[in-house]
Amino acid sequence: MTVTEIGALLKERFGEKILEVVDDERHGHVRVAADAWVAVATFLRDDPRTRMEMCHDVTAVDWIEHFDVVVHLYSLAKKHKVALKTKTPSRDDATCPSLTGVWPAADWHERETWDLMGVRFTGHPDLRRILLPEDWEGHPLRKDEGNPLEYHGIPGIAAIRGAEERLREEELAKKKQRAGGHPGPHPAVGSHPTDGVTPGVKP
Amino acid sequence: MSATHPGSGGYIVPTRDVASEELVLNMGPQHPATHGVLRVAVKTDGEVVLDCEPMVGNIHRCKEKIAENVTYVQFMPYTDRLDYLAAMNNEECYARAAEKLLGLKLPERIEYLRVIFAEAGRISSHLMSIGTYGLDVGAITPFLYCFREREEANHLFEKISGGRMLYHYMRIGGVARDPDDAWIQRLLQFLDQVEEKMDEYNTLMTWNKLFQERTMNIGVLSREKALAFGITGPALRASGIDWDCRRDDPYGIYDRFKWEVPVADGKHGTLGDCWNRHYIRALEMKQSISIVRQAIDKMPKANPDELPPPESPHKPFLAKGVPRSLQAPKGAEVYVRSENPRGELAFYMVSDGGKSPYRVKVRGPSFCNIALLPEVTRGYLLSDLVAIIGSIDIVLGEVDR
Amino acid sequence: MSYFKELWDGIRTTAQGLRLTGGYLTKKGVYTIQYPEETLPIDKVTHRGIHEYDVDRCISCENCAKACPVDCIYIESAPDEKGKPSKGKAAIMTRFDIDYSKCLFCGLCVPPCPSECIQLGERYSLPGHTRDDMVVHFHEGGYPIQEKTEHAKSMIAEFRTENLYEKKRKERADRGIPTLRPAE
Repeated sequence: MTVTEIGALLKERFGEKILEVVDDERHGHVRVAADAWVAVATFLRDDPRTRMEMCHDVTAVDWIEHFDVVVHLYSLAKKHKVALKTKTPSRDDATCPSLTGVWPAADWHERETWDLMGVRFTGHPDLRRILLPEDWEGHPLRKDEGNPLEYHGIPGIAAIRGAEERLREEELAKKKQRAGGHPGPHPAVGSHPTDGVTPGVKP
Repeated sequence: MSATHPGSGGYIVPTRDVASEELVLNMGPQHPATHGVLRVAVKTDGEVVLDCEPMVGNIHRCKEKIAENVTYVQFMPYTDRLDYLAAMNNEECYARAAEKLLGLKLPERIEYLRVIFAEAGRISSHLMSIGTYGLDVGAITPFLYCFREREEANHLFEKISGGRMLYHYMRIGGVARDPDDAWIQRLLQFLDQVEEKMDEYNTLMTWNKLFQERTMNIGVLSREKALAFGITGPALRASGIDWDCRRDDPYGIYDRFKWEVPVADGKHGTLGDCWNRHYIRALEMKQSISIVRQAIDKMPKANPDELPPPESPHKPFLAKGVPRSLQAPKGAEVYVRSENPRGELAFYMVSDGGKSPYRVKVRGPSFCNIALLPEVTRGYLLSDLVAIIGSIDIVLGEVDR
Repeated sequence: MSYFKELWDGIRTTAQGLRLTGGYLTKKGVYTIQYPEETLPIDKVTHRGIHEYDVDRCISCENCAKACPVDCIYIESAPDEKGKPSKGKAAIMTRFDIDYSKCLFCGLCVPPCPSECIQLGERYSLPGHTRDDMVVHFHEGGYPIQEKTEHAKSMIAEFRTENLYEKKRKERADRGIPTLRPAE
């Protein structure tokens, strides 16, 4: 079945809860209202025409005003696929119903999405951090989340350009303070690029 | 306390009324059998595993965040570090995802090269899996023999890409270097060598009674559980599900080759046990050898109109018309998956029209496969836990990303 | 009965394995090498090891630093008459550091270089005790470049005819920048 056919099937069953059907060659998806999220997923799994047995992936995208939760489903028996999308109510209220009851596979994916993106899945039995340590603050994949520059005394690596440039400026300033035109044979001695990064600087 | 050991074919763990209590053990993160820095918290009663929980994230570096801050081209070397034992396959998947997002068409020769390198990478990766699985259950010799062959694969990849493990060979819209005939001949020799030595691994491991005792009927993963937990790759096929996304949802040019998808039939051991997962890998290597040979036979010469030779040996071998600065259309998104040695790797990429992707999500097969460890280990012995982790065959670079 | 059959199977299959490994006793062929004394041959064209860099030919365009995914290349050049950092053929490099604690050895810095003065070489050993030991100051020389391409060779010829090498050496010496690399 194509995404259009699956979308038509869902529209027939759920009516207005199906907001949008996009049958794009790149990424065909069906946008679902959040209150019908679990019902649509259960229908897709159990209906003999769709039989989406495999929940391949659950993830979220940060669109500043809200988050999109995206689920990629595959049917091994019917050999078709579809992606489901839903919106969280707002950025502050980033909640979405959990699919753990439909596919146990969603368990770890939802924990990861909560950990990295901060989308709270209601009804998840065990929503804890999974990749990051328990005492980590913030959700790194959010767009407004900066580079953490310090964690338990460990300096953060300045993998992001802004911090790096700042560092180079600081080094240049240090060099200017020294006498003479040439900075000396070992300009990097004593000032490793990851040292001296001041915490709290967001690029 | 008594506990029946479900995998021992009727043997019962010695029962005597001795006082026992639950004990939580930490296996790892520095444990040789966890294949990297995986920590498994095991709740045991004597030797029996009551429950366990994999604690992942020790080498997490948030590659998805890095991807949002580098360009499409610059993220390619990071994909090597996902499943570092099968770097070619990761690169192939990422390159295909980025090309689909950017709307690039590939010349025939590049498509064939992609298949050849992905399958050669699979052979190299399975050699490692089989070898280290022997090591996990206490056989050192197969590990040494497998590494002998893998060494040749490393030499081959080094000759063409410059790296022995993290190749950075695939590029968006092409590859790093066009292999010459001498290299292709050497690859064919390597295939012959592996095919010949396959029997040795089977004699030493697969058909060895002691190895079978360690792995048969252990860690049984039922069909339903495998589907519900989103298991992919050899572990799924070992549970008797005939699914290979190279054949059933073909990507690239995989529909042009003929090969068999090995699926466990339960003749030996139980369907979905450790032994079957190991044996599927051994069978898959043979099929990969066949695919590489077919691809080499069919591979066309480079057409200079669509695939000009690079100006200097430093420059990559790219299709004509690949822009130097890549920018995807605004709002475009793709979800591309490929059959990696450990399961289905998938990239979900969203673009906002900039030079870097807006969002990249990596669906690592090892991450999904290790999630079911508690389900398959309950009730088995502690030493079986090692055999089960080895047979699921995880790579922590991909779990933690 | 099945106990004895299993016992026999165990002995039989193990004996098969032992016969196989025993066969290697008589076969010739060496698969291990004594590492520090012997090393594996390295492909000189493709191997991606520690960089090779020609300080005199560098035009300070910073293309390599821009292409680097981890930003591990630090470039500075001496100011020219107008006080801006010198660019082009007359550039005098005062800093070209690569931080190998960050470098991925991906080779993305090599293709954008217009003067082909940077490439990945065949050295791979860089032991050190501190993070600072991982920063190599290429502007001081130390890792001479092996020319691989015709373009690079023609660039060198051009530089020679214009006597740029000598000029730059002299200027560097005047500024007190050490040059470890011997003169050609």
